[in-house]
Amino acid sequence: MKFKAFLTNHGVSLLERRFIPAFEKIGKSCHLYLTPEHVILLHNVLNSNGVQAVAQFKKEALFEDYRISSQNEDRIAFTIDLALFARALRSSISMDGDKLQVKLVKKRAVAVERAMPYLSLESMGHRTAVVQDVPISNPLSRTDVHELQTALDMAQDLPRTLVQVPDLHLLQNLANRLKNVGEILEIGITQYGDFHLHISTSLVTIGSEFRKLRVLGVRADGGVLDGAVSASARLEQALQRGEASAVQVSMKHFVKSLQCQLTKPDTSFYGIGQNDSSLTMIFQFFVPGSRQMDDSISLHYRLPVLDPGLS
Amino acid sequence: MECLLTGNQIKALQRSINCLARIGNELLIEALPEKLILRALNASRSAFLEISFKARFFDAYRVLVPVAQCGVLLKAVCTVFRLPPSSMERIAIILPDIAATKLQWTLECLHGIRKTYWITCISDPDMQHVALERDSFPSHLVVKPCDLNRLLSNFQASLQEITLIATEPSPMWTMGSKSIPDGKAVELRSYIDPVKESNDAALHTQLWIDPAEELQEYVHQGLAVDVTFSLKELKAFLAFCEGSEADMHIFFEKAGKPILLAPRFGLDDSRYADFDAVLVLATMLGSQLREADSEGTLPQVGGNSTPHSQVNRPNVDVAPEPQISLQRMQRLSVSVSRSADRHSDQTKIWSEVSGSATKSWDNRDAIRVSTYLQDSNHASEEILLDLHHHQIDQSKTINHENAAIPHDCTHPSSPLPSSTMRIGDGIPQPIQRHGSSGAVLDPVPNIQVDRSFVFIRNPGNWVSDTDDDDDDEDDDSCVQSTPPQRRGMF
Repeated sequence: MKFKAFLTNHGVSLLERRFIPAFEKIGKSCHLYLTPEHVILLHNVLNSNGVQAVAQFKKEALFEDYRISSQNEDRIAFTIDLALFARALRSSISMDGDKLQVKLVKKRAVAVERAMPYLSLESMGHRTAVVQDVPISNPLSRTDVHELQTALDMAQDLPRTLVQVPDLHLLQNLANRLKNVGEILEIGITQYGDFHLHISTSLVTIGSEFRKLRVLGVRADGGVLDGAVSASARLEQALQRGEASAVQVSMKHFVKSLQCQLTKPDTSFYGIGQNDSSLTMIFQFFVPGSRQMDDSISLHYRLPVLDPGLS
Repeated sequence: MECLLTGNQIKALQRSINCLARIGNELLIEALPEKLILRALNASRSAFLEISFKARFFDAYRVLVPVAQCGVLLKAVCTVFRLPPSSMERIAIILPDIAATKLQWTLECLHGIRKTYWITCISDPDMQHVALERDSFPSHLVVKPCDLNRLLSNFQASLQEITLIATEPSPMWTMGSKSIPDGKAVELRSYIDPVKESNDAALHTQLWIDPAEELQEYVHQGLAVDVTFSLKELKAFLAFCEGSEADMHIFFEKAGKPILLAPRFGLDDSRYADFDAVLVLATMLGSQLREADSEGTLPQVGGNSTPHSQVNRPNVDVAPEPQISLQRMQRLSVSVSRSADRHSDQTKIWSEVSGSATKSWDNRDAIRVSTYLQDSNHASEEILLDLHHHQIDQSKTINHENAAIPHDCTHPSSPLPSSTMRIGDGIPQPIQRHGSSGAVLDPVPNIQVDRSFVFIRNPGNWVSDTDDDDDDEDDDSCVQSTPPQRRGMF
């Protein structure tokens, strides 16, 4: 099992300033999955307890001179502490060296019997040089990697309808206000571009509606809507016509997922999975300086849906 | 004893109290006619801080007896300084007489507010004193606090001990028509305490520094030495030096000997300053570089062992007062005897950037220096990670190396083995230089030196090119980490 590559400046910036801070908000450690073509950061893919996040990069987006080999179809996966990884990246950048080499190593620390695996980052500058060995878990076995890949494949299923949320900051401000009201958030998405957020307790009901958003996928014509009808009534009518889906998610998960804006996505789409299985958020990134989508980076979050019987 | 302070002196005193509070729990005050001395000793007796203020530091300073001593809790003194110094106009510290049970602190603050604190003196203070001559240390360095802060930011915030490795800086030397600059002669390395269970989650950091670029002054001659000491007290003293706008002077000798830190004012140490500080830190007995040397001198660690045997006796001038000598300063880690018994790869790895080619090596170490040749085509420093998590089988790895290796590096007491390198075709061949032992070594063949530094490599960490890591899934040899000399060379 071998892995060695050189991080590009763009790769360092993507990881250290955007994606690792965002993923740290979800959990302390995550899976790092290396394949011959892609580098993938994953949260909660093997379990469905929390916010599931998958950030996939083509190897060229992060590395150059990328070399990987293993007996498991040249795939390697392990878990890594994100705070330590970020610190190692930050200190390696400060060396101001020519190249930042990343390598998988196994070594025995002082007076420890068994050798442990590390992700080693090495940077040689003019005045200083640094080697940072980030402790990682033992690489996943063939079975675990297969399971990870299967879960990843299943997570690629897109909802039939996606609406483009205009402003994540606005959504985050709204969520920060709503989180003090209750713990369960109801989200409704219609096929004609309405996005409903609604929280209800025994004493108060409060929500927001975003209307006429851009729709991708299956869409419907909303028809002439009676202005006197309330937002919740409109959603109810759309649900009855089969032109909308509504699910309940944990308010805590929703607020946590909104930290995704640390990755600075250019567009965000929300959709409800088939059979109301999950709330999916898909983010797109443009090539810097253009409106052209950057295919080398993809990010999506998936929130588990609560059983309506619990509310 | 009575002293009066105003203005910037209050800030200096507050800074001193904050630093002392980060070292120990008790403040030991000794008032002499010519100066006031504040001391603190930590609970494990591994760190001792002394800050002395000359009489001219104060607006008024009066001591009516030859010496006045008392001890108070630092927590109580910190309470006095809870206010920002800018809101304090004047502070008076009064010890009415030698037998006084309370130390009086009177603060005159803004807007005519006067606060008076009577802090109870400790009934039987353990007046400690450590007298160490700075000239007795063979090595020292001077660093700006902001630079050291920047270097320490590379380490994990929760790191408790750090190792400083000092090598002799090499002068400019030439090879052919090339002038090759000096290497990075100083290394800072995170120390991983083997007794702690959280080692699996610890970031391992090795930082090499070019003393000409990062340090104000650096003096070290002879063999490489390493000292491992607590980072917490270092950071406290660093903050003190930074606030005092002074560089930090670090004096050291070798593992097991205490290190001494002091502020350095301008071009002259402290001749014209009206206060001075000295921090003495105990260091680990076990050397990270030469475990074999330290094995014979390690005392047994235990509750009944006399403090006298625990620390190498320094060559110090011990003051006549009831004092701790350094014999009573305990080691930082109780596991040194355990660590010395175990063989470690990391401790045998030597920095490639230390520029150690021209150093004279102790014959005991039997270290042979070889020149690194960049050979990316045949680089096989990649590490085998056994999917079945087998232990590294060092003997297998070593067997792939050239048979000229005289030492069994798996034996914990063996000195560093000779190194080999591979040339062009990937066949390991020994390349040796003339060492200090006088042995005539094979001449270096026609090689192209790509890097400006030389290194010592531990074959126990080397993966031979002939190893095929994809052959056998059940292969027990778990390839070890890349030696530093091969890192970043591609």
